[in-house]
Amino acid sequence: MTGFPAHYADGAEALVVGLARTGDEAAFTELVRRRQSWIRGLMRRLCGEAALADDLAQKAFLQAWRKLPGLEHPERFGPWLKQLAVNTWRQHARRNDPMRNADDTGEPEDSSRAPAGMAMDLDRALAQLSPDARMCIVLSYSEGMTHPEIATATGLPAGTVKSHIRRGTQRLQGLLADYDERIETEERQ
Amino acid sequence: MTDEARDPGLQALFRSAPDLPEDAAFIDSLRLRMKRQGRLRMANRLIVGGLLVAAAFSLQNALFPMSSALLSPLLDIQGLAGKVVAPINSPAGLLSVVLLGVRALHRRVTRG
Repeated sequence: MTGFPAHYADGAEALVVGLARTGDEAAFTELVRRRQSWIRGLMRRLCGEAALADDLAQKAFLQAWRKLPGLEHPERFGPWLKQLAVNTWRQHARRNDPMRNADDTGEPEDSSRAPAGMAMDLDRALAQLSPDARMCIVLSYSEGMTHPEIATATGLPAGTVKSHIRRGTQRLQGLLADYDERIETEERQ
Repeated sequence: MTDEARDPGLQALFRSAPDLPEDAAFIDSLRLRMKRQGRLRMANRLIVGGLLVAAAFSLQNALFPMSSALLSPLLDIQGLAGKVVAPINSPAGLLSVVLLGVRALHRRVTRG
């Protein structure tokens, strides 16, 4: 990367956030450099498509750039950015899945897409969950967030979060067990 | 096992996922979008500003004749008498007197 002071790379994040809040584009670029891997990874877990994930991650960063002057505590930049990413994902899921509320059980939207024994990795297994269930699972397992934290971040009731995580975990265990069996069978052959 | 307990196998799978490498193309693309967004916001501000100025001119054009009409004398009274009654010798003055009268009446009625 070029076009921004190299010493920003050594600065404490709260300091760089403070500079970015004043409209310093170079400081914000440094924040993007530091956080892009995390946000892109989170989005990939949530949507399962690399190109879409990068697009959503960019949208989250664009929102961050626009709303940064309103961030009162620069040291809370990470959680704040994660909240923006979750909101971006939820907006995307709402726009692209009008039947989301009709299926609030955490079951797959189309179980025919996941025949038993089909080889699948974690991302493919996650893709079998409803968007809300996937989001709860990812925030719990990937981000280490507690149920109340997930409920706050997503705006879902705590009971729904708990249910999504319980059922989602069971569903993933089933899907990944099929995957393990398939791999073991292939290895034996 | 508490509500927050996570499946160890799944936990390990999530933890084993490799971090994405830094992608300069992602940052460059984002910077382009930031610039585009900045230009769009500037254009929006210019449009809103232009609309406000145009609205202010239209409002001024409407307010000027209204204020002239409200301040024009009702009766043509010359000399000292004209100067004495000047504050109420206009629709605006008369309106003020009427409003003060209504207010006084309202107070009297509500007190009684």
